[in-house]
Amino acid sequence: MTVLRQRNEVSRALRRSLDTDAVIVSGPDHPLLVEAPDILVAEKGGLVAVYFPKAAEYSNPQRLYTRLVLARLALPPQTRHVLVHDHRKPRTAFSFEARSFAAVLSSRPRHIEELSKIARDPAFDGGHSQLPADVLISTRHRFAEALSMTKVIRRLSRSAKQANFGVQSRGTSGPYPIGAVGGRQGLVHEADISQRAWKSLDIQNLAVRTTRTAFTMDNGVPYPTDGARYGVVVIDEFRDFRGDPDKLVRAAAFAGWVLAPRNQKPMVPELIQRLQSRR
Amino acid sequence: MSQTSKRLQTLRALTTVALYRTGSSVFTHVDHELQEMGTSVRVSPQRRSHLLQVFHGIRALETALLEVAKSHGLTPTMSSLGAALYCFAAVPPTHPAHLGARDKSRFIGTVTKVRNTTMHQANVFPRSSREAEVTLGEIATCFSLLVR
Repeated sequence: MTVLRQRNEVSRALRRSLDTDAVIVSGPDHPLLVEAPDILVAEKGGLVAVYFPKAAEYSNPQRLYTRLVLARLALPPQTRHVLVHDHRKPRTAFSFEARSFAAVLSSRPRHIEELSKIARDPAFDGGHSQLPADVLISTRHRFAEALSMTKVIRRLSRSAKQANFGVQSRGTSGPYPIGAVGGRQGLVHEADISQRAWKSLDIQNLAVRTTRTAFTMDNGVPYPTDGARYGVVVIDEFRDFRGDPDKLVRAAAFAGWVLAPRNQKPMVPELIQRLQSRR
Repeated sequence: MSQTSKRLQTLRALTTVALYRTGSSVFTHVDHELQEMGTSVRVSPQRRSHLLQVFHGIRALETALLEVAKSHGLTPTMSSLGAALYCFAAVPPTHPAHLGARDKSRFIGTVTKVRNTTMHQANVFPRSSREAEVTLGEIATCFSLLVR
């Protein structure tokens, strides 16, 4: 069964079992997330975020981990995050993620009733700790930092295009190695996807890199580590996202990435240096 | 369901969470305002639709933020969007309603200024679909950071 079909069936089942006041969003669009949970349920018990692993997430559980961590940080702290796995696939595929969810259910119909109970129960937290304030502070700070840098770069890029100048070299301008670079090992990720048009999947792939090094999950809480928290990616040019032009820039920043268009590539070493000093 | 509609439903979910957290019926009005925003998509001509979406979005956000402030025992200096943003930026970072200085400055530029222009100047409309969409994106972002 495809994820889309699962979403629709579970959403319908929830609508039948929950109060008419409940808000059930299938395929939510959150302004800070490229890949949000599959369903949001807002009921008397609070918010429940439901995840159906995609095929790519079964192949690479880090992708589900990234989706969970970023949603955990973006959604209200008391949100309960519930994994609904395909009952025909082995549950062991997500053995290390399973502990990170407030509940793990199978896609069998009787388990969907469990989901309704969780949505109605404000006391249910799956034994998880609430998100500490310092985790939120650090996440918001990273977001603001990365977004601010991207906006500055964007303005410089526009000015350079309007003035029809080439960008003056600020130092080495040769090709940059892809991977973590920095004065200390792995402080700031670097990537270059300027050879082709970039899209939302690219942002999610980048998010996997920073999320893997920047956080470690413990009892449902993503704690910041000493690993690389930021990244700088060279893109061909800025692109609007349909319906929300700045969505991808914002989502990239929320995952710690600064976007630099190709005509600002010589600025990348300076950006990396600034981000390193933010630690 | 369009992407814009999905975003709207997501904001409605966040509003419902705030409603149950605070017990305040004001969030019911915020929810109605969000629904008006959705209805405005179908209005013609397009510039009227843009104006109405921004108008309802800002009203929903302003009302929601003032109620969030009240629910935390905070008192903005005025009953306005800008004052609410300044209020959230003034509380300690550990406060659940804290807003960082950069985020505050950004929203003052992208939302509050648009609000003041749109609400107070005659015959002013968003200049393009893109301009309206950028404003609505910022409204949604501000909402997601603070309405919880």
